[in-house]
Amino acid sequence: MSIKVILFANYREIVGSKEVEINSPLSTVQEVVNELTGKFPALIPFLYHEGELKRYVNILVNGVTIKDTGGLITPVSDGNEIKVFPPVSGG
Amino acid sequence: MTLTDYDLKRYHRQILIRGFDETGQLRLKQATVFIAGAGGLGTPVATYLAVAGIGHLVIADMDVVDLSNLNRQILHWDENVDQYKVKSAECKLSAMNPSIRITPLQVKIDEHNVYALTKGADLIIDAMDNYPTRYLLNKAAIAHNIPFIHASVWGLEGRITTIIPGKTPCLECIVPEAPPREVFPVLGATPGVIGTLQVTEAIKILTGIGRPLINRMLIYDGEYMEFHEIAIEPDPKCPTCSQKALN
Ligand SMILES: [Zn+2]
Repeated sequence: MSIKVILFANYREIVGSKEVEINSPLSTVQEVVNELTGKFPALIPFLYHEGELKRYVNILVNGVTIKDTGGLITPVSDGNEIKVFPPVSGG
Repeated sequence: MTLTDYDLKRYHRQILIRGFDETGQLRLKQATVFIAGAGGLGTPVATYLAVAGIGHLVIADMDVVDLSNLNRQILHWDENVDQYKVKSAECKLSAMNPSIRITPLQVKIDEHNVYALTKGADLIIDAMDNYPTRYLLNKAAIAHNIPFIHASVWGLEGRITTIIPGKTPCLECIVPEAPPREVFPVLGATPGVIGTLQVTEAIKILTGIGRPLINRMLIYDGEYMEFHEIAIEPDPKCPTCSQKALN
């Protein structure tokens, strides 16, 4: 099983690259995010607030926002591409 | 108001654009655009709106020019360090296009003045560097029913979407809480890219040509030179734009 996670802005800075390939058998977006924060614990304060995913974090599975598909319990499968966008504030 | 011979010659090349015509140019001449911020986004935005012949540009910014602004804020030069940004911008813009009206406002946009400042504008351009002020502009755009072109930048990345009250999600639907304030990294060309996209949207909205960037957010990733899109939807529980909030 292989899932590609693509990160933007300061998430990319923390991880040090645009893409992270995850090869564990995972079934939901939550498990993918757990795998990611397990590898890169510095991401946690940028993704979560008091244990909840920050409301401004946008996660897309194959281009579809998880807001439309049940949030973190959205299922994932082999070959999925997950994009994680924070808002950015500069102007 | 009519187009003069000067206008017809000055704007000839854009009047040639399909659907634009002299009517489109007249609409630009009759328009008032409120630009919130005269920084990284605000300076390319003001530049391209000025040369396109927008009749009246209102530019609001409270700050003075700092040397560290000059990598991106293209209307401000070394000689302008410590001057008010709106003054520095007005000086260059009026030299660039003496036929338009420019109103520089050295003011901090707050919850008391935002409605009066934006009243009468045909369009609000978000060229701010923080969400608290963006949320105020968003509220004013909804209250006055004015299109609001939101953008933000970070490093080699940018985001842009066109918000039309009643027709698209508002800024609070999209970003329900502000990310923390920071001194953000930024390449000057990034707000150049995003600011010129904002102007493209502004001119489309004012003239009615093309299809605006509504109900989707465009993400520019300059590091890998990719564009992505996120579909965005109104939040039925939005504290600012939902029916409940408006009633
Ligand atoms: Zn809203």
